[in-house]
Amino acid sequence: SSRTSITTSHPINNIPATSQENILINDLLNILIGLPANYIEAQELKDPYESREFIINEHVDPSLRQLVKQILPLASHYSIVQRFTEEKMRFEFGQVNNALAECMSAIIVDYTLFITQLESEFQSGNLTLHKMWYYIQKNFHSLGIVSDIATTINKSESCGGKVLSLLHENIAGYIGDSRAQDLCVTLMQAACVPYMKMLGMWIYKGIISDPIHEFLVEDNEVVQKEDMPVDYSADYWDKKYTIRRERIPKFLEPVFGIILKAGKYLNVIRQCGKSLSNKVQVIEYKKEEKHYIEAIKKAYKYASETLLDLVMKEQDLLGRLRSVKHYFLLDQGDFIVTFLTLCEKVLSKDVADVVQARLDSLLDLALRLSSAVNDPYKDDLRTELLQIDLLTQMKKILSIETYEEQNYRSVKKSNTLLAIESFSFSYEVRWPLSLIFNKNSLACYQMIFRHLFYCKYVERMVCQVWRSNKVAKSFPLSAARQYRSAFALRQRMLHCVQNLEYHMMVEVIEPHWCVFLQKISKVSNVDEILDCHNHFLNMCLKDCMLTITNLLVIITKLLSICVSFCKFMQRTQRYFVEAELGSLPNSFCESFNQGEAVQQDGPNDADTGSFEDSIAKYDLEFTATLMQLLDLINNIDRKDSDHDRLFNLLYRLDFNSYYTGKFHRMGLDHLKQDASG
Amino acid sequence: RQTLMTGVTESQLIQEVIYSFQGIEGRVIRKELDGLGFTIDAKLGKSLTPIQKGLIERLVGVGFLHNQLKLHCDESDKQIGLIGQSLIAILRDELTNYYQLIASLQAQSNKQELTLRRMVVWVAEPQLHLQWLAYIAEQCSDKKGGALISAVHGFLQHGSTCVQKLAEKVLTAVCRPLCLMLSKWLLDGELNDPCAEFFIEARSINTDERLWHDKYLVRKAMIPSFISLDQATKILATGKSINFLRQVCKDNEEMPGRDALHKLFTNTFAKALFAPEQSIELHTALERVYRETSQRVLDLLKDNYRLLEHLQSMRRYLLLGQGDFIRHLMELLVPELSQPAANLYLHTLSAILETAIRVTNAQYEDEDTLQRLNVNLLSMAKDDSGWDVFILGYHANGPVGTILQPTNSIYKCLFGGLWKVKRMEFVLSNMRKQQITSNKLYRNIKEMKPVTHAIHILASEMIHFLHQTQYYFLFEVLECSWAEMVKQVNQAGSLDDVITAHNTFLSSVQSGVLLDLNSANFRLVLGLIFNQILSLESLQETLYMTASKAKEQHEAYKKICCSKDGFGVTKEEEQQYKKQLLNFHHFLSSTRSQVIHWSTMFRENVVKFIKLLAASSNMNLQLLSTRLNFNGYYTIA
Repeated sequence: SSRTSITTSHPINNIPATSQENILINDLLNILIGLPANYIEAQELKDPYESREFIINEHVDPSLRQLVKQILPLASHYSIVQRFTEEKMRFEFGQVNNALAECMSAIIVDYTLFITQLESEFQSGNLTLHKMWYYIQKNFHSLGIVSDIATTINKSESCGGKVLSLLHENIAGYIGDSRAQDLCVTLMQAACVPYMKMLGMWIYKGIISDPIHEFLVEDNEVVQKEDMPVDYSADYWDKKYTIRRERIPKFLEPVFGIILKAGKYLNVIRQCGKSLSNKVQVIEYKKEEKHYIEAIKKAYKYASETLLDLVMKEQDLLGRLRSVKHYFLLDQGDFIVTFLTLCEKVLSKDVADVVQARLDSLLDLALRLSSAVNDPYKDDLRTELLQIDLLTQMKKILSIETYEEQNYRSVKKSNTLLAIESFSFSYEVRWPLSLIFNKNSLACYQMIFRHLFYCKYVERMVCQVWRSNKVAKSFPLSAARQYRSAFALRQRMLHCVQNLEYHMMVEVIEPHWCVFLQKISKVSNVDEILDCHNHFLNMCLKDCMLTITNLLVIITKLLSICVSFCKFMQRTQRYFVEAELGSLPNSFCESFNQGEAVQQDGPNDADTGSFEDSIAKYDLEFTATLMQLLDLINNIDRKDSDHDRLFNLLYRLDFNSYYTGKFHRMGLDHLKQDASG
Repeated sequence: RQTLMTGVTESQLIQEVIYSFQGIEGRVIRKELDGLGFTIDAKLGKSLTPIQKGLIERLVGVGFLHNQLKLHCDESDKQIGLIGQSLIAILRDELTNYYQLIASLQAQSNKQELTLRRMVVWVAEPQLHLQWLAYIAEQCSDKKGGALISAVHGFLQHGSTCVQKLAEKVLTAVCRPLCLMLSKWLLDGELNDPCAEFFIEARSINTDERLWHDKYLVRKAMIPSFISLDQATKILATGKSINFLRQVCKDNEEMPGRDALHKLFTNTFAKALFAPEQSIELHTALERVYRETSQRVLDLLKDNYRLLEHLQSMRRYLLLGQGDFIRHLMELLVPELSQPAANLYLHTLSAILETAIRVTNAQYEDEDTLQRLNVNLLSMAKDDSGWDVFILGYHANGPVGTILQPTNSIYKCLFGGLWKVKRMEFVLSNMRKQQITSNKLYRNIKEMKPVTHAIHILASEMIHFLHQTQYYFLFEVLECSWAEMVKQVNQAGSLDDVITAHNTFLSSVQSGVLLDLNSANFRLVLGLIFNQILSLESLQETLYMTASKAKEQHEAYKKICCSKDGFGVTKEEEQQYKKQLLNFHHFLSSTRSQVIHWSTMFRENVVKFIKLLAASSNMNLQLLSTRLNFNGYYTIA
């Protein structure tokens, strides 16, 4: 059957309505697959995402016209979907959009096939507009849904995870309409394929292959691991991989945390040069959530267990922690004593006069002379001379985000530091343990160490005085009485310093350490280790009174009073021994010569008065400061359970209520006056 | 209007469209004048309805794509390399498939089953297919080799499965030549790359000596995107190792597990690129081949060619590790080397070397090593003495030579420097020896005391200086660097690691003994100090010679005085003696002032040297300065 073509010039109003119907059907068949027709005209688009409108020739019979008008929205849907597929097939719209567009274009192909079936029907003369309207119903509905989705995506310019969220919402929205829902699920499944592939690579291998930035995890690749400096790791852990919230598909919302962690862990494992034994599995989107969530959880479990195993067993985290505790928390007594004995002279110098290499070699010596020699990790210990003393550092840290911040930000090295004030250990850690011993936690260790170490140093000084005071035994009884007050003060100082130390080491660090060990034996992933460790350090910092500025200031002052008292005693020792005994007994010669080395630093400002006066001054100062400290601790809110350990210190320092009694005796006003002066 | 009415039947149109699919124009569908597409003939087109026009316009798009692809295939006669060739081949295959489809369309049209609309459905899929093929072809049109593969690889990033499949197909095809080249290179070390497409290139260097260092390199532009630079370097090293084994070591054994590897490469290579999982496998396989090959080269060099022993002997003889031998050699060489350089003969020197070997512990050294040891003379300038041009050499040939050859000049330079310091030590100890013996001899000449005293002091100062410096060079620099290198070498997994370790060793020694570029200042001062040592030596020599002459004269005079005939001395004799004595005293006082002058100069130089050391950023040099000036003897302003 060969038909001659109908020329355009025929005006339609010359044709009877029944023939008009055939012509219109032929026109519609073209219009419905986006091609031009005779009497129906497509209008120009103003906006690429707009729905296309059509104009029907005005001479068409009005009732036919209504029928055609009814059918035309299908052509608009087709137009939108077709434009969507063409555009979103381009690379820059991302893999999810590509896959979605592909699925939609398959729907379009089906639809075109349907139109050609209509055409055959038409050619055999069986098609009327009414029949046509009946036939297209199904496609009308589904194409309508697809075009809605396309329009929403176009308008919101979504890509990647956002598209998936959108589709997910659609699925949820069509619960009542199962056919529509099935359609959405088909689209969703297609669109999910590339995304799930990325997800699989990430949770099973820790690799991100995401050229268009669609995946919910982003790799802020700054440096390769090989050139990663040690202190980078703190940042590394938090910042290398980040979640991009806007890219999380709705259905993965509850698990994004473990998705991130799983890949992160795997990366750490890979960077340690271990190969991963798990296989990549295909994750599919199903309407029932269970499937992929479980797969993700399983992958996470594998990753966290493997890494935990690596850190705990292969890298011997506990051994490391113990080793660090030996040195930074002064747990290994004989090492500290050896080290202090070797370094005491160097440490009491000005920091500018200290050669760090010398300290390093002394440290080395101390490590090898003491029982620390058995520690397999001892060679990672280093010395460090910091720029500012502990008090300034703590003030600086504690003042962050308060109104005082500005004051401390510009703190310079005002006066010269003593080596003891700037000295600290540092510890060299390698990947992956640098995750746990990162810069922050090492800094915490250093703070605690500096505090403890300074106390220890002061204690040694006071003990030195105690030792040289033994010469007083050979004084005549009458003369010895004059020195009694000095010796009593020395004894009080010793008591105070030792109890401070006892408090920090035995009552704070040890219990916290035990709790920490207990906790760490139960952890299930590395993040928990990090949390436990940080918590441990924070608790130690807090209970060692480092985080309460007032207390720290007073303790520092207390210690400095002890130091100046000790220096004073060492200076005067020679004179009063000479005065009492006439000449120096040989056995004491040495200790005085030693003392002279210390004598040189510091001008003799306290020596202006008589010996008794000076001692009384020191006594007053010491007592006042100590009582101030007790007062402060006493005034801390007892209900606040944060500081309950501190009260033990109160009882320890104020043993027998010695100071409380004195407090009453001296009267409150007197005390306050002194403290402010 | 007549022509319009002649009209075109739908079946004719269908026929023309089918022709256009193959790029053939018809009556209605004409080729664009200056393009690949088709248009509807302006005259005949008027007889078509807009419906037909629309359908035809959509359909002829397929013809355009076909023409584009065909053009790309036909233009391929140009030399585009094997990988480009394989791309064309796969495009041709795809076109063949497409022709098959057209044939079936033709058959349908003959059966009158086809309408234009139906054709739209029919061509939808092949059109998409052709479209992406054309896109790929366009992206690859000006590329070749690895770059082309990278371009195709990029298409894998598309999210839709059909594009991915297509890209996989094309990629598999284009990777085949690459894969062959790669496996040839990795397993046999052969490069079969006429069109420079592979990411490794060979330079035309024929000498074996340069093979390891210069012959092969990575062609960065040709690295496919799925191989990182790091991996490419490893691949380079693997093939290089094999070449090294074959050409230099004459070791023709095949790699163990070669067949399995070959299979792995041919089977999984292309696939590996699509499934990341397998790509990990491939990369581990690459890594393994690399490690095995490198280990093999390393083992061969260590075991068969005794690389480490060679390094050891070079350290022993060229860097003065074998003290007794060097000392003895120097003793034997003194008379020879004091001559001007032009009077030296290699054979006499070689004979001396032989003698030195035979009487020292060096005689227990391996025969092979001793044979490699030889004497060399540097090119000489006019006033050079033998000391300036004498060099010990170590002749390493074969594979080891290939590795060590580039370091020869450094060894020469190091030997020169160390030899000079050693000579100073030697000179000073001889001076000391002479002082002790002569002291007794000239005990009676009271006038000599102040002079000899000054010389003694200066010499002691020099000895202190030299011993500290020598100690620093030999122990702190050489020994420490050597220990570090031994550690590195033991950990080494490949020959390159060993070479790097060796180079680090050499450069650290070079900078340690102040022979590198940055230490010119140090060298200048050291040179001045050394010259002073030498002049002091000759001064002492003259002093003792003069003194012995004076002593002889004195004794002769005494003899005459106490002669038995009892006549004593004549007046002339007495006067002559007095004159001689005066001259001698004169000489002594001038020598003394000379020595004192020198010692201030020496001190100045030492102070300069210490200052330089103290200002250095190197901690060890600072420590050396402390050691030189341990009791603050030299006041540093």
